[in-house]
Amino acid sequence: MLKDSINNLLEKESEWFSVEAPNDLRDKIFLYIEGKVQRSFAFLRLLKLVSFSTLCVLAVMVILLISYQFKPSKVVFVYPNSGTEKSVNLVGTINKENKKIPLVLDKNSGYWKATVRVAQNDLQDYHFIVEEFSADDINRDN
Amino acid sequence: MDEKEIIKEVKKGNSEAFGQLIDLYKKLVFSFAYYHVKNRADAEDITQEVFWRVFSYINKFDEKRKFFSWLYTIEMNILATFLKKRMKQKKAYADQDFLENIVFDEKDRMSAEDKIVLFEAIDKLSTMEKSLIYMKYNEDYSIKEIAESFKLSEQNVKVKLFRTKGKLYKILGKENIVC
Repeated sequence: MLKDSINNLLEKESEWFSVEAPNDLRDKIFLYIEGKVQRSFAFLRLLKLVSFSTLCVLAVMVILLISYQFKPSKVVFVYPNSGTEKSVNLVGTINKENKKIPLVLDKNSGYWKATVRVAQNDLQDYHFIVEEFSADDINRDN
Repeated sequence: MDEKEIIKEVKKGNSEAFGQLIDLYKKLVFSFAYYHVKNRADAEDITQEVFWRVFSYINKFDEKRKFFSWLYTIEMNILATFLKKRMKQKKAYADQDFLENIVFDEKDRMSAEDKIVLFEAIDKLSTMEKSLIYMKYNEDYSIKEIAESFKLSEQNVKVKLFRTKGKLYKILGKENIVC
């Protein structure tokens, strides 16, 4: 009896129950979709902005890194004065150029000095060429 | 315009046609959602989400397929996620006037009270079983159409329906339904 009754209800009748949808459902659906579309566009705009900002920050970082890499820094070359040096020259590859730079004697500190602007990591090889007073120079002086 | 023409127009971006599509299916989508979630506000949210997905993916819809079966597939996915989330929340969710919102057909010899008992028995079934009962016996879809919606074989749908009905008889046997 139970089985027959359920079968009768389920199979012989289509839509034995129904639910009334709200009258304004269509409007609500449109509003929801509109909101979603706006949010998607806003998200896309935000994404573009974030990507652009990230690119800018990266570009600035790269520029800073490069400028730091190539920014010349002051290097003071010193050579102790023992009193026998007539002249002291710095010879080497500085800023990718072969250079010969004379050092000047600082009588207060007792050092031969030369200040050179050298790009970062660009000081590869250098030597001091020291010219000493000859015996003739000493005799002439005396 | 018939349904196929409406869908073609929607694919072209015609919002008026989309409105017509909503009018055609809003009751179906809302009823199915309400049947599962028993809460008007949640059913409305689900209906809105279903149509949003239709709007977003309509260009991927294969016109050889029946539109309602595609719609049910979308709704089942949304419902599955929703019900899973709600199970974790463990909150009271059903509308107090849930059964009052359901309009029972009074033409047959089973009383509305007994239909409520039957409805409550159906409610004890799993989401899948409830959906099968709904589609087969309330919306009168064919086995083939249900199989298409659930991505199951027709034989599988028949077996599942048979078992679900058996389960329903058992539940109702315990409920002592008056026939």
